[in-house]
Amino acid sequence: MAKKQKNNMRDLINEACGRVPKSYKDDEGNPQEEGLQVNPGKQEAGRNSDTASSTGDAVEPVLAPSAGSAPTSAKVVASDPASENDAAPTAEDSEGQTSPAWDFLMSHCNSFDPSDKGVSVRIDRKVKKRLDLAKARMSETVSMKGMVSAIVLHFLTEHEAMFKQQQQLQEMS
Amino acid sequence: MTNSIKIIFANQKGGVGKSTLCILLANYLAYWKRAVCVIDTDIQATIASIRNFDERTRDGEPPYEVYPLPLDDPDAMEHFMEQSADIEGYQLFDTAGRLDDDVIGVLLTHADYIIVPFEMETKSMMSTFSFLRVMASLKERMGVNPQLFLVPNKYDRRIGTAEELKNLAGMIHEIASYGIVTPCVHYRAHMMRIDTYKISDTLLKSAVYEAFKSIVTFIESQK
Repeated sequence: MAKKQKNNMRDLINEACGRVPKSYKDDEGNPQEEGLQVNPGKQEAGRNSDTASSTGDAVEPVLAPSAGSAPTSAKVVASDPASENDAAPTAEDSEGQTSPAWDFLMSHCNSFDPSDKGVSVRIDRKVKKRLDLAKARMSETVSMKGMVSAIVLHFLTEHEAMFKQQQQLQEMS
Repeated sequence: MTNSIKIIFANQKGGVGKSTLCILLANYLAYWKRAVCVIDTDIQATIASIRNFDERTRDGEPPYEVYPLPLDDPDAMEHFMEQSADIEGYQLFDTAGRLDDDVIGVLLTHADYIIVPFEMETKSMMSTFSFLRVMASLKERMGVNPQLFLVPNKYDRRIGTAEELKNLAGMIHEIASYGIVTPCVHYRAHMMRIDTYKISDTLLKSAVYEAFKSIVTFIESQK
């Protein structure tokens, strides 16, 4: 790369690492305390917390520590004193209309229906519980991070449910 | 129209060779006189660490810059991706690959190309499949369409029975529906000895040549 482009890139890198993003500013537009890093998606989503997937550098005062590291662990609700009386917001709350991400998640919540197979097969209870949890998480999250992890959880749980169903079908035949 | 070519190395499966191939592609592009830089977004900072070591032990100017960028704020990453679009040349991003990373979604949706290394082994491919399904969903939902390159990495033809290889071939056939499957990158002991200053002739002419040539040829045909 030419020297000028290298300098431009270096400036951008320094700016990205050092700047205080808008989301870190308080309601009056003042930057928050340096070093305080709060995921705006988690704040906007109200307090749904994914697993303890933080890199470890960020300080997240509004979130309680996760009960476990697996996505299927119990959902942790953050205890932000400023808004603990607020109900968990949905996509509609923020803008008065559903977002594309919300619509997509809701459509995927209903994508797996064992009755489509035309055979009455019991779903393993543990798998069913995880599937329901995955659907519940997907219906509540609006942040990019939450959406990605919810999609992953749903796909993996769906895959497991279908696999076990196939096993049962094989045993029956 | 952007001047940059943003290439993201991603796969949720660890150890498939994201950082290694990122370094090798940067070396390959520098060898062929392309403007290139590496942006290390992985919190482990693998490539940045290797570069730090190389600067102390190698002579001469490095062929490209390596920038650590361990951001965990999606807004900051979004701003960076937008601003860096005007900087000409290849920008290779090494990622942690974890789908629960805050910024991975931003990287994937701003990428021009995504390179997904995977190992020719059942467990690795199953995990890669899950990742690709999530990628497909993100692409559809976010209205973006980065080209995916699926790179079979660490391929050792000595390993695998005829039945296993047949099954793997079937999985490769299925994985091809998600993107372009490049020629294999064969396992070489030299892969353990890479540095960020140059690419060895052994790797350049054998292990990575076909795969990288196919990728770069495709990219430059799109300009």
